[in-house]
Amino acid sequence: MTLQIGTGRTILIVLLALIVVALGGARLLLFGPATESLAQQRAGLERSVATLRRDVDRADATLVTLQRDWVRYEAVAADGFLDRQERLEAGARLDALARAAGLNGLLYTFRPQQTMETDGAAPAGRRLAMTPLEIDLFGPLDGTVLAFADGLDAALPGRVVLREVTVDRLLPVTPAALEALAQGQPVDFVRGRVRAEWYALVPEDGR
Amino acid sequence: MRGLLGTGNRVLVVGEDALTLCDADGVLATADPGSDAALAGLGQHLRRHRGPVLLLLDTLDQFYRREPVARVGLLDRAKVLARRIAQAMPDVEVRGALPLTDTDDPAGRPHLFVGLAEDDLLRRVIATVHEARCTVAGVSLLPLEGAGMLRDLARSLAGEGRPLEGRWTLYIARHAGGIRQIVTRDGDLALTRLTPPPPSEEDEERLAAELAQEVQSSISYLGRQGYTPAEGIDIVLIGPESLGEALGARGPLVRSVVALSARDLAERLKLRADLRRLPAAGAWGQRVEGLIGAWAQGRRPRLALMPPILRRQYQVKRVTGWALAVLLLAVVGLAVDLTLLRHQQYLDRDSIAALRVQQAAYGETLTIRRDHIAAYPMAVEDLAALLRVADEVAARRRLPDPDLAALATALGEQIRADRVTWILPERPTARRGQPRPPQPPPVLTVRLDLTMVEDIGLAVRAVEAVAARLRVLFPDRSVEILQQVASLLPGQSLVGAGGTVVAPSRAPDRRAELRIGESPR
Repeated sequence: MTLQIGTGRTILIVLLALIVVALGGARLLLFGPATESLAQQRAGLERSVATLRRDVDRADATLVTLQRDWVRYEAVAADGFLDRQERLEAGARLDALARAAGLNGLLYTFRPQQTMETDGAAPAGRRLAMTPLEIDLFGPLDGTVLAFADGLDAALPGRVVLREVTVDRLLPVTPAALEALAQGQPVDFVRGRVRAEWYALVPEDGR
Repeated sequence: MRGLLGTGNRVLVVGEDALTLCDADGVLATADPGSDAALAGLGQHLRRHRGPVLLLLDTLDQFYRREPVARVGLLDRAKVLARRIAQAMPDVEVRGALPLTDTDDPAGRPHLFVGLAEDDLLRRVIATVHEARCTVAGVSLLPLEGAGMLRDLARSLAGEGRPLEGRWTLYIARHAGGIRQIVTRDGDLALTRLTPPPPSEEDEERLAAELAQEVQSSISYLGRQGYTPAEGIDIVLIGPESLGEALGARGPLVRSVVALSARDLAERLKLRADLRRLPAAGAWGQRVEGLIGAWAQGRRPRLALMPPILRRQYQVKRVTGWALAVLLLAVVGLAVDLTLLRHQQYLDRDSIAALRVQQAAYGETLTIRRDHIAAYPMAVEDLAALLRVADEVAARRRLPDPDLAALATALGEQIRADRVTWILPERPTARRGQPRPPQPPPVLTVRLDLTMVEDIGLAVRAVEAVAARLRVLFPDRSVEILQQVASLLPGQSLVGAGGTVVAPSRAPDRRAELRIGESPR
């Protein structure tokens, strides 16, 4: 007696086995690597897009900061904070300020310029310059000295930080003194002394 | 469920004197098992339509025993059953068991143990089937399938108003090997007999007597299985009506006799057999085992037996079946996997295309933004540093206005300041690891000249009043009197005189000094 699997069944088994081999081969050699490659490509692109999105967000934030800071920069520049400290011009401005305040006279001294430390890093190519300023003022009223001190920061380019303001009465208010004042003669009833610091963010190699 | 759970095969009824090949359409061929030529002819029939063949044995050497099997758990059932069959039929090569519907037996569930001798006829038939390059779908016994057929027939007859209502039904017909009787009890096979044909089948009177005798013998066997004469028995006869009537008249224990022709049987069993070829009138000797085979075709055999010569073939078939199933599953699995991969590739390609568009758009936007940033003449970091320094310097800037104005308010019109000093202290430097402390407030020093006030007590009170006003105006600052108009402070020396003693000639110094400084913490 012979054992029969059956021709049809044998053909079917062989056919199915061939199909399995073909499909398996396609899975292993074609579809698997292709899918893997596509997945890697996709993952790489996703990373790249995420990085680009972050960069765009950062650039947007930088641009907003720049736009905001530039407005302030222009105000600071217009204020002369970035200009060199021109002493002659500054002296003329002090004279004009004293006249405007009603003072009879002034004596000013620009001390040697110093380079100051800043809390953080200084901007590239610039340094914080400070010139100590001492001014003696003579006038009829203590208010004239105070008006001068009040207008000092606006009068000079850059920033002026007041360190000390002293007002002394020189003369007692007598009828003779008042008469002289009424005749238009300069009478110095008070003497003021102002000590200040004049700041500017000057170029590295500038005054 | 015909054709779904069934084999869907052709059926070869193996009788002692004839082999009958049939399918759902009826008998295809018959052959004499003793003739090699007839077997070869049958083989040609089989080869014409290759496919599995169910062998339905209508032979003599069949063994049946009704035995109760103890009720055991599901896991032990097969083992217990195999042991009980082996004990009941130790010398029989092919064995099987069929559970019966009767559950009244207290000793256990009744089973019909079935045995079969693997004789030469069976081996020759199997060899013929194999030589025709067909497979044996299974081996079953015609009486077992006949019992099932009788149940269908009883249902059909009941529909015609001729119910077989008794518990016992007897089928009697002329088969190739002799007179086949199949007795059922409640639809289960109770008894079957194949007896030699009577010598005088043409004489209906004598035939009826012979058949009645055979029926009587069968009934006498049934007594052991609980049959009582009061129950009676319904008989289905394949033969003429007249023979049925004669048989009914002779059998006092018979409840009813239904005589059917082959065509009647086929009609009632709703077989697809070509009825025109079947005789309409009943006649003794009409072969209906082919119709039983046609009925069994397409149905799952009630009991499939496994002769040793087929066992290996079945094993091979089972292995190849599993292999086919595994291969089919692998094909389906791989096809599904490849489809999913293909779909994934499609999704990935789609995503990649969308991502490339996004990448280009973001790249373009980034270039535009960077161009805008580059258009500024200063880098953002430098600009920020520059502004930070400007802010730092601006934070140092203090105007004396508010303090001096407050001072003027506190002095009033009567009291004149001799000297006013406004000093901005240096901002402390930062300690290591700590932020730099804020700029302290300016320190104001005021010297008052009260020479014009004659009354020293009034002058002292005036200075104290000024200090009190200053404290109100500078609530967050310390206001202290550094010097009074007279040396009244605990740390000073006060020189006085009275009576005739004149105080040392020293002009009274009517000057006071006040200091407004940082609030003491």
